[in-house]
Amino acid sequence: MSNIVKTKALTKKYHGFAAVDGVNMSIEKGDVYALIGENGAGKSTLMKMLSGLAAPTSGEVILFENKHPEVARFRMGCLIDSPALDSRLTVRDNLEMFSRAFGCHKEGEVDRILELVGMKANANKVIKKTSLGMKQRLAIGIALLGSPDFLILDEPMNGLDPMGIQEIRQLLKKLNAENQTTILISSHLLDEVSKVATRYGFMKAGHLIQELSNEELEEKSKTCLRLKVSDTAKAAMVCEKELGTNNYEVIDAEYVRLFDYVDESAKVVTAMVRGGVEVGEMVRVGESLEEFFNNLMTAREEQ
Amino acid sequence: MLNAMRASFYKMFRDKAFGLCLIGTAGWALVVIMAQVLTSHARGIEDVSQLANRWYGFIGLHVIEVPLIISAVLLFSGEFRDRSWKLLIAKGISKTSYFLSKLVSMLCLTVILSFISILTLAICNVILLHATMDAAYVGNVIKFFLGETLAHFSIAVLVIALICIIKRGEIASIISLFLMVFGYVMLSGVEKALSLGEVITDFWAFSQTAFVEFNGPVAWGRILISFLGYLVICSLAAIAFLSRKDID
Repeated sequence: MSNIVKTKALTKKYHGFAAVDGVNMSIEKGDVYALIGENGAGKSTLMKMLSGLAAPTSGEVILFENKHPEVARFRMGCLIDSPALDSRLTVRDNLEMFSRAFGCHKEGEVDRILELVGMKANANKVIKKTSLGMKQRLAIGIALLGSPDFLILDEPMNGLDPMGIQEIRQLLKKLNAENQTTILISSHLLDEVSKVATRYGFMKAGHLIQELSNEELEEKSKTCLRLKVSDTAKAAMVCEKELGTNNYEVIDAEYVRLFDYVDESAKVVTAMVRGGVEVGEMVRVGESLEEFFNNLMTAREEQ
Repeated sequence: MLNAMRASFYKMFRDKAFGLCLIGTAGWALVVIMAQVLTSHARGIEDVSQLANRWYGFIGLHVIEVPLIISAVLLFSGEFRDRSWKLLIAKGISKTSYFLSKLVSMLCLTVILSFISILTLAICNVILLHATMDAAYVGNVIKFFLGETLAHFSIAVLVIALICIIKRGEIASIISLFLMVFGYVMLSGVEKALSLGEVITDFWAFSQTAFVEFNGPVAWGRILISFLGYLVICSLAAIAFLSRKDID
């Protein structure tokens, strides 16, 4: 797999305050990488540095394995912050103008984009008379001009109605599946982003605190019984011999996670007691992406 | 850079404001010449045909500068207001290329507005002031058009640089109009205070039109040197300002 983005100790400081601090991240071809974090976590600043809108204070950005990112940026499409459109031109004129600016103007390109983002019926509307949702669709359309290999989308679902969100999600999935388009996306709609993402990067206070693949996140957010036991080795034995399952995980010297018998807690306690294991605590846990994110942020704050 | 220029021209010619600028330019030239005609008696000019060769009187009333400043702000400051210029930068277009594309568009706009103004004046001269449209007259008009266009290039460079530096159209237009009206007086004051003669005002952007005469010579060399000076200084300043800051 080739690297689309690689950053080395990427840092951005504003008047001494580190908005992004020493971020090392890599995005592989075909990834849909979701950047998740609270407001002010540094997501937009990181995206701005990748797209050349902000200069890093220190560190390095390598795009498409090219050490000169400005050369590689013509293969990217961006939507950063709010839609940046020429408010006096029509939807079609905006696409025509940007297709010329990006050097990808050809017959049918604008119509293809209008079709993709569902704006054909509104092609002749002047931007200042369109809704935020329409502007957002057009901004996504501009990012798609010239079929870029890498898309940076900062909060692309902002202002879209539920139908619009669904359509854009389908579009991103299609681009990723059919064209192997690599996507870096940030969104506050965590459940929505989890429907398209294949990898996640969690940011807090300018730091990339954790990176996970979809599989790893699914694994972490599985519903299970978390038991605080007197002896984890004995508890493991009970799981295998008494309960007949290998689907457990010893977390540390005190805790075990059991992924089976989630709805049969009484049976688990009985088996443990019978095996000479004292159960100090038993909690049913299961995290959605949102819960996982909240717990991660809380854990980080406690540290 | 060529792509950025193509986009800039596309936008300029699709923008409804461009049509208004053209009409406004012709209208302003007409207003200026009508004002000259209507006030001729009060100024002791009995025969209006005497005005036909007083082109400096028309040009001196900022017949090209005012439409040029307003058009430049209307057509080029929107990209900073809407922040749409960031899409070009994110696509790998350098800030230098971006500025140069705007500069070339601005120079083209100057040619267009200068052409419309002088064409309007030339036609009005014939119709209202009974100027004789012979070969000498047409030759003078063409020479005057070329001289005025080159003279206004310095102003064009100054205005587009101000727009790129300030990024707010209304402020850039106020500063430009202020410089147009008071710039010469202020610079004269500086010259007098420092006993510099006319070293500064001779090369002041808004003074260059004084070196173009309808019936007389055009100081091509001086105007060209002024333009090249503004081109280098204003371009470097604008590129430095554009490159200095991150884009919001």
